[in-house]
Amino acid sequence: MPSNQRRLDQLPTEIACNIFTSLDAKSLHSVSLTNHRLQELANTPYLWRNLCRSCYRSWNPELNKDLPQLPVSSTDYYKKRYGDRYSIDLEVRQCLDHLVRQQWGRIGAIEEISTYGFDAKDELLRLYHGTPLDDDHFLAKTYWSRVILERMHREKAVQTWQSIPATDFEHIVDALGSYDLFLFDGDGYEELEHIQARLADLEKAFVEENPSYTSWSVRGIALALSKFLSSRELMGMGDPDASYHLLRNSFIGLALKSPAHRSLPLICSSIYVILARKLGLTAWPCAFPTHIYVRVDAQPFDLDTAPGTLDGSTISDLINHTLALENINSKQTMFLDVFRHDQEVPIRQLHTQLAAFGVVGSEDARDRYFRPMSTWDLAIRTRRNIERSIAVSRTIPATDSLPYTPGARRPPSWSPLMPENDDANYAAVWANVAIGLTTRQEGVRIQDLHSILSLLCETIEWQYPWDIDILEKYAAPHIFKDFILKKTAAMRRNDARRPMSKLRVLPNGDVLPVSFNIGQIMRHRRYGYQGVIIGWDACDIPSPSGVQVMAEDQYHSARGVAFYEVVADDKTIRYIAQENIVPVQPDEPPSWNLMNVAGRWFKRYDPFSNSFVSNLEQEYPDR
Amino acid sequence: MSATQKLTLTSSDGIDIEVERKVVERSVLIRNLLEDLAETATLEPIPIPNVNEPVLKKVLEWCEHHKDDPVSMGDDDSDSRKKQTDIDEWDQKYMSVDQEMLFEIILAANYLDIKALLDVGCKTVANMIKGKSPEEIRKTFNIQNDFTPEEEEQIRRENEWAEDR
Repeated sequence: MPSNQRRLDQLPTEIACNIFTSLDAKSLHSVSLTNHRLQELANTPYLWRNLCRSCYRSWNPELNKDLPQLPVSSTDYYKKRYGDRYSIDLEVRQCLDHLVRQQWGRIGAIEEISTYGFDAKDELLRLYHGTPLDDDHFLAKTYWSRVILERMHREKAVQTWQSIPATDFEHIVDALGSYDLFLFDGDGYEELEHIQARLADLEKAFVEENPSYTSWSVRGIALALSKFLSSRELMGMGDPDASYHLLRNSFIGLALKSPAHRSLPLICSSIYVILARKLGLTAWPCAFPTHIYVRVDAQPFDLDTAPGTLDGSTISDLINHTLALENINSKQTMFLDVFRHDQEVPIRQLHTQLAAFGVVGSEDARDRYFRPMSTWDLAIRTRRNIERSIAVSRTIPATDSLPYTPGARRPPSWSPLMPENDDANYAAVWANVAIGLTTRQEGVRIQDLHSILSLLCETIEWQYPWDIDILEKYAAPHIFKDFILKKTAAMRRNDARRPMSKLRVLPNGDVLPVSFNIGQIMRHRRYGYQGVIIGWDACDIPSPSGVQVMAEDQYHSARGVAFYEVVADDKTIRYIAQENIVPVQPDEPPSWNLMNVAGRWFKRYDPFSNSFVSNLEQEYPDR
Repeated sequence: MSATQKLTLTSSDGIDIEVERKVVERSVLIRNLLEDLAETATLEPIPIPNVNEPVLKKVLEWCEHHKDDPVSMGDDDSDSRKKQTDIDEWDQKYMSVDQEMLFEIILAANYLDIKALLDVGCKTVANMIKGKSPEEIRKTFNIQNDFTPEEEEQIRRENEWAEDR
């Protein structure tokens, strides 16, 4: 063995690379600075590609595609990309620091991080999951990193909706999965690709279980798929009465991910249809009154010949397919009720049902209900389902008002499968706008569009002010540009303004009668709900500072009466007179709901004083 | 052919070493060789032309200690290999040798195709590099700096991200 090989810079390339695969990026870079030979070895693209992959899971979509495909020969591409990501991480940390430490200019800071798109995601996830519980700014850091992560996913959802054409039958996952992007799944990682991957896994499993399916008839495949999905409990929902209206049943991602896979007929029909199409069938969801059925068509194997039949043509025969709306008969079209069972539904039965709903008369009238649902039909109906679930859930007492247990990150009963009403509602509002803008030519009235857009603006202003550039980017170019830009400009001005400091001792020596501090946990004397003080005022007229106010106490407030801004455990912000504030007992901790929103105003929760530590020092220097 | 059968290896400097078949089969090179050879041929000493006696003995010491380890299933991908950065205690002690020997072991493991030993050796070297500045790395491995100050400056400029320590 040549003795000159016994040195680091003389090792054969493959051995040097083996050594360097165990190095972190900075150490590897240091190696490249030692001498020419080691520089060449340490810059091997494969090493940097590994580092890119192992340190970062999320990449901007266009680059994500590049990452595995790029020829290894483009020498420093990966090292540069790694360096980019490393620098972005630094910027993300600086921006988060700004958000955590400074009360104004937050929208700008969030937008700055958002320009990096998914390239910022890994670092945000590290900050969200990795900030230690005893960090001085634990609540603020986790709150603001979550805000940006959620915003990132929402932008993706809006962007996706906008890319779906008005008459589309293909992009079901995009349309329905975008609702999932409005939910924070706890891990904060899931994207549309994960929904696609779960569906691809199901397809694979079906093919493995039914290797010879390509030689079966269309009907045979359709029924086998129905049985396959039922056997995996992906269809239906066990005991529908108990949980039919739960919010989670409207989200395709949750349905695929959760162990019980419960979902509404629309969602499980969609899952069926997506898989059926992957297997080569022509399948559609059909909107019946109060129910969704799946329709499977026999396809002609050639446009010039007569349509084939469900039992005749096999997948390998199929070259082209058309959609035959007229002359529905059981030889060419079959229906399934995948939500209820895995059997075929006779067309006769559907006719009877329509008659019961009062749909009688010509074929045409009935055909309307046998017509395939477009992607947007599915999205619209899902939006309605979500709105309905929220309306129903408002009548059920909330479970998230459980008391916080110090040292925990989540309530014991927390589940990613229980979406929050606010998030789902916001998804519905955005979907409404996206649907309105996309399908406008199909008879949406301009007044209606203006009113749904106004509702969106209002929701953004009060709850999601950091989403205004999504509005500017995706809605303003299409409609009501001036209206939108005027609104967002006002929100930006408001955000950029440094708040005036409020002091308890006035310049003339008067002391304001403000008895409670920012961060005090309290209950309302009359209504009993829990809340935390996030602002006070002792002026003549209560002046809300950019937050939604529910004026519950009708006072002719004179100077000398203190009023408090309070965030209540239903997450609304209220304005309460001092005499209605009752401080909680020292052993009554805040609810989880309060913990989840408190990061917007507070650094952390202090269990010893049972109060929140103010992060509003610029506005309230003496609390 | 039993696993306890004795074989003879001849090192590059002509020394014969007797060793249990099971031990020496940690080397994929030798295992394949034995599979190809006729039964009787294995009685002949097997020449190992690239490894001298002290190194071969050291390598066989490792093989002896690890002779009952499950045989790895060929090449697992580099990602999973990278994840296990820990080196077990015995191996750590085994690897506390001078640098020259360390590289000799790595080269021999590479030649003899003993993947686990090669990985442990490489990780040991990696641990000697981790967290060090370029100057410290040069010092540790006695590397001659052949960059001009301008070249060095340029590399640093192109990789500003790595400069905040």
